Amino acid sequence: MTELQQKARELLDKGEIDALLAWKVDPGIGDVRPTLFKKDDDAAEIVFDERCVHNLANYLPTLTARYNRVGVVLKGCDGRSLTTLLIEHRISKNSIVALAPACEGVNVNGARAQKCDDCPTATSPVADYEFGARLARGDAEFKQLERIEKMSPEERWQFFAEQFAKCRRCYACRQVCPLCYCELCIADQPEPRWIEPSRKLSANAMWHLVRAYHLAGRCSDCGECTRACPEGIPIRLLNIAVEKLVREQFGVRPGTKPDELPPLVTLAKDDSDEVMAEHL
Amino acid sequence: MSAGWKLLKRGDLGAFLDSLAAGAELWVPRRKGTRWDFDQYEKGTDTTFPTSIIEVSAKALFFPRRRPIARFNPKAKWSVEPVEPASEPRIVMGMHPCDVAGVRYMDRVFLANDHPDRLYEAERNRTTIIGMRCSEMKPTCHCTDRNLSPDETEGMDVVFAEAEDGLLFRALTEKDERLLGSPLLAATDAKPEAKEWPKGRHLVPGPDELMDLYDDDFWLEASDICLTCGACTFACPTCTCYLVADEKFGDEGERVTAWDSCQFLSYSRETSGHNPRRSNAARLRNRTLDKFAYSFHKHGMSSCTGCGRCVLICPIQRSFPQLGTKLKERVEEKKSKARVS
Repeated sequence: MTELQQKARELLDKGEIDALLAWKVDPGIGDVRPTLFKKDDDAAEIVFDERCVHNLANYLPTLTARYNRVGVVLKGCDGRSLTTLLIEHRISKNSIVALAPACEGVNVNGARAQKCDDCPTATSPVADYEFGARLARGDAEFKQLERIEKMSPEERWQFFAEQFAKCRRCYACRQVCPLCYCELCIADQPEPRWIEPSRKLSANAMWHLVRAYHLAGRCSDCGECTRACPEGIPIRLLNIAVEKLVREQFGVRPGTKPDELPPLVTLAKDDSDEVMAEHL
Repeated sequence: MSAGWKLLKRGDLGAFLDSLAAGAELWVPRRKGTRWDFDQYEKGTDTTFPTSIIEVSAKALFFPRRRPIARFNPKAKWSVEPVEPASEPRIVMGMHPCDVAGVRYMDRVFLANDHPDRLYEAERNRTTIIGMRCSEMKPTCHCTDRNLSPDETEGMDVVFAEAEDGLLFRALTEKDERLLGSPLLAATDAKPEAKEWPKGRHLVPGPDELMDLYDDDFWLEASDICLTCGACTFACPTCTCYLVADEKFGDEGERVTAWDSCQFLSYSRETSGHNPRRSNAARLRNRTLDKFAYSFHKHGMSSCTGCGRCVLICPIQRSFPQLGTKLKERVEEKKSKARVS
């Protein structure tokens, strides 16, 4: 048994947690799947490797409402989402126990996930128990944006229009996102209808741009929106473009520091005026 | 009705498709990115017919994601004009039995009632389905557990199958004999290879047994990790829920139907704000029972065709058919408990 499995079993056996959110191989599909382990389940079945792509922090608000204390296994990116969820008071730290193994990166469709190139924390910033040495990570270069940045505004619109046109509006991107948690999503609001419900370019573009803005300074770049998209829209490019700007303006990578308020909900005296000045 | 098969030599496929496209709008499978979808045939392009599931169902060809039903001028009163249904003949070629079964189910939903959907009806009337027998079952395929098989031809007008030296065609309805009148096709004694297909991958309890589980804890546990996105419903060949919206842009207004999903929180929210299916569990139960119980009661057939598209699309690798298997275990558990007490 790995240290992670042992600790998980111990926590469940002692009743320190009522359930543990982790990954397990499902023989029916031959792949790993998020699984909720209870006391009677075998903690030796817990898997942590490059197949564990899902961001389990997403389930915590619902599960902590049902169980007193929930254990959760977190990668670095999932931990950054959790940090923001804690800062925004979506969950209370007392209701979770964070198990944080060092993450060496995950695979999506057989290749290393692009988000892993820009990862600032290989181990979750919120951790009750850490496993493995903290891996050093360089600052993100957002290399995947270069291709977009080189485009003229027309080319850029062309590129994104083609992507947005594919959207089915299934909202997998929203549902899979730990930080997209509005009780009434703007896309669901019937009156006034800010975003039309049908699948057409103007409404699709509106949906994706609004979502990107709502995540500004909050997105932990877990990449789940892009992975979950049935149409393969690189949604994450919008988010990292915004995060690159946030880093330039405020020096913040969301979720990396447990005590740092998201830049767009605070006003600091030394905030840059550059963005505003451009538009004055 | 002819029972014989006709052979199209592999090298003649392009010419045959060109001849079909000369008389009708022709839709064929096309690979887009990592998946197969349907697309309109372009003369002279190479076409391959996947031998098993096409990831994107042909549902949208009959029931589009966004479908204008009327046009109006938002600034004028009483200007609503219904949209004229399409009438040009169309051929959809390469649909597999699970996809055709989806169309048969949609026929029951949209046509077998007092208010048939006239736009859907028009799409059906103008379409000839040239279905394709599957030559393999993918790991996620389980049509054999849903009263279907890779050889099923019901609902098709013409069927074709892979053979060693080409494709074998057979007309199933009188009106479509003419499609196979092309000199490129030659009568043959050859028949598609008969195969034994695996069964029992994902059995589900019967509709009544399932209804007995309505208040079971099962749903809460099963919904733990469901995201309640609409990916599975949009991929499903039989999910037909839609909403109606008036969309306005300047002087142009359109009343449209757009795909909706019972997995969305907004789907069941009432005007008062009350929502009878607020919890993930209630929404998961609704979809599962709709596939395996309500559909029997309302339309006389299961609305699960065993295609496995929901499994392929799910962001958390959850699968509805597997839920069925677990439900079966739960039913057995209940039975044995009842016997003991």
